[in-house]
Amino acid sequence: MSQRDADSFISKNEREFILKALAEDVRLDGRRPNDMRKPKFQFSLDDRSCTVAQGSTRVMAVVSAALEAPYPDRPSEGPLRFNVEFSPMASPAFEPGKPGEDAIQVARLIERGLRQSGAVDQEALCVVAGRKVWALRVDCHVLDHGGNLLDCCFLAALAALMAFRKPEVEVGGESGSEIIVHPPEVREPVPLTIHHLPVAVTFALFQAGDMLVADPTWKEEAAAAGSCTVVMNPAQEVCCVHKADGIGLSPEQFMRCVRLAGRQAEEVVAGLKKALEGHEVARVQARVRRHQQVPGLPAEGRHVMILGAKDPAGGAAPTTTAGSSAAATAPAATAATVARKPASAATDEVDEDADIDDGTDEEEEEEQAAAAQAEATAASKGPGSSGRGSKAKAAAPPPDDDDEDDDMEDAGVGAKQMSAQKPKAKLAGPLVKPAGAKAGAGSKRGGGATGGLQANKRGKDNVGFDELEAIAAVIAGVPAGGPAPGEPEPSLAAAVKPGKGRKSGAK
Amino acid sequence: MAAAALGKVVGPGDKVLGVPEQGTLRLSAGLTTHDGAVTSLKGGVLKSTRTGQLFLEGRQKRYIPAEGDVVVGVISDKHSENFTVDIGGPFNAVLPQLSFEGATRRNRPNLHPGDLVYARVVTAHRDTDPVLSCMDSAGRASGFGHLKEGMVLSCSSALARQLLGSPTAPVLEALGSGLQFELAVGLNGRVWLSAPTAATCVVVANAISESEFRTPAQVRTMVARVLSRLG
Repeated sequence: MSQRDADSFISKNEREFILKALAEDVRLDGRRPNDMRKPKFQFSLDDRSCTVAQGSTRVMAVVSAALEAPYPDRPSEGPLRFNVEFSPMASPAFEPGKPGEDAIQVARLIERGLRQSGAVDQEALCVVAGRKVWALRVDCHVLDHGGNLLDCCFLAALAALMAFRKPEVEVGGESGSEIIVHPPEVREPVPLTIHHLPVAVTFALFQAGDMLVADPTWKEEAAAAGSCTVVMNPAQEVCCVHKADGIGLSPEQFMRCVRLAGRQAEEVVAGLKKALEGHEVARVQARVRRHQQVPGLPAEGRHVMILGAKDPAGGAAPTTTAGSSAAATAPAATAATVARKPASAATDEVDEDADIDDGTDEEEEEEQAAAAQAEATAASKGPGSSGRGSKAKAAAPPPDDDDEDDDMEDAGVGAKQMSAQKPKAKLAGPLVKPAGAKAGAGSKRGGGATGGLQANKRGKDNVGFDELEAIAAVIAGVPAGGPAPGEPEPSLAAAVKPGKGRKSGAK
Repeated sequence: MAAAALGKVVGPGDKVLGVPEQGTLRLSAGLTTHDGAVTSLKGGVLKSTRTGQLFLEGRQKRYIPAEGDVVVGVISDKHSENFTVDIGGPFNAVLPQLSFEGATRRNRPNLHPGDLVYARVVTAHRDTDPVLSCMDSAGRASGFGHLKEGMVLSCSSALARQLLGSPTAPVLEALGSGLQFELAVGLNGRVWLSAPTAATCVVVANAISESEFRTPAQVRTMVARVLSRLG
């Protein structure tokens, strides 16, 4: 990096000392000339960012995605932009404001190494060709400057892209006229397609004795006469080379750099993959914990899903508690009955258990697989999974049911639970029309969108709006005039578990 | 009463102690009086200098010069009457060319940009350039002046204060028993080190920076291990 500022200016003594020490094969921090600092990764649980620490250098990279129109000359590719900011907290030499020359140079190199080398699949970001694509933006913030910002920013950007999960998108309607973006609570978000994992390795070159060191600290950078960066992946392919200003190096030295970079790429990628695995475990654990804690209700992790209401803990928007794939009995009734459960003793226990069992069963295995890692206790898993079962059911089953169920819940509880439901209504809205078109023979009702009372008229519902209101109050944590929330719910959980075996009957 | 409050950890704006009715309290960096009590301007630990001034010590990257501090500076500019010295503070300091022992108008110090000097801060105010001097108050060099060769270690001012304090810091004692080296500690977080070989310098520098958060016993074990590996 350039040495314009007094703060990045080192004394003659230090400059001479660095060269003298290198002649003895010693570096200021005790490393040997080819030793590189091992990076440490820290991922965030919101699937968006990663902080990388390499020695005392720390960089945080954040990925954000937005649906945008693509560039006209690349209609089926999603743009990928990089932005690097040198925060003033990193070094007294950095001033706040627009990125300077050095920051832009780093951003440009990251772009060459990650985008132009084809590491990130941009075509996979396309949603509707020519109209809507995912535009990704990676922001790297340098938090601490201990030298070699380039390598650290590059690694942070790569790690953040690998940890990033984009929302799942469904394209419906004629010629893709409707795009539904599913929130992460409804459908598990999807990782990006990354073809290979390039890693940048920077070398500082010194005038005297043609010496070079790998992964320089900031004093070594200030004392260096030039630098060279090689970007390689573990498959030993050179993705990008950056040799800008400064003194030159001989071909033999250059090949040595390439070999060293190749070895470093292997080690770093192995470390990154291991860190990502550890992070995956933490993600699943966090998800399990989130679904078990619903404020306003007893802590035993019960999860009452009112169709159309958004779970206050940010858990599943319950699209189908019913989960009724083929149930001839009204899914709406099921919804209503589940809703009714906490309010009063269930009369429709059989059906509802059956329906819930469907959901639970299918999901039990999935949840078990995930929760085995998470070491969730059996007790908390029971009631939790019924809720999750129903939520996950929304993700898994054939689209027909989704549409219909969404439709119904929308209709069924539309009037009473406005605020809780609004986001859900938006989600269900676009599905309403295709439901009519898609459902075809399986359609359980005559038309598409319906009025509010239709669901209640079907089957064996007995739910009035006032009961739904009470339940909504419970969910929202407001002490309702209705029955104590604690009482009926254990029965729901208890009913689900023993009821598991009965699934075939009421189907 | 002030002695009882030493070592207390305070946050910005906290009331540190009440102003005593009798006696004098000398306040330094980070402390001010407000509403009849001594309040803190930043987060840190309450400490007292050798001369009895109270100040707050917190970790920060930028050094704030205070009168009487000793610092290691890098000459960045040479003017007709003075040098501009970078001491890592918000402003570059001014070192008059005559503030050296034996310097006269005819006989000026032979220093150039890039040279290291060990100086003391004569005046320092919040919004002006600090002024340095390479002589003590009596006009003698007493260790100040041009530092030749060696390397510079960056550390926190807290560690620098510990290295300068008495009794001698355990790390220096332990290292001194096995190695030969020379050092000049600047309260601006820079420590100049010189030893016969570069390897020794590097070892001493790393031992000092590792000793910051260790107990004396741990420091002694660490240094013993390092020395045994060296020779």
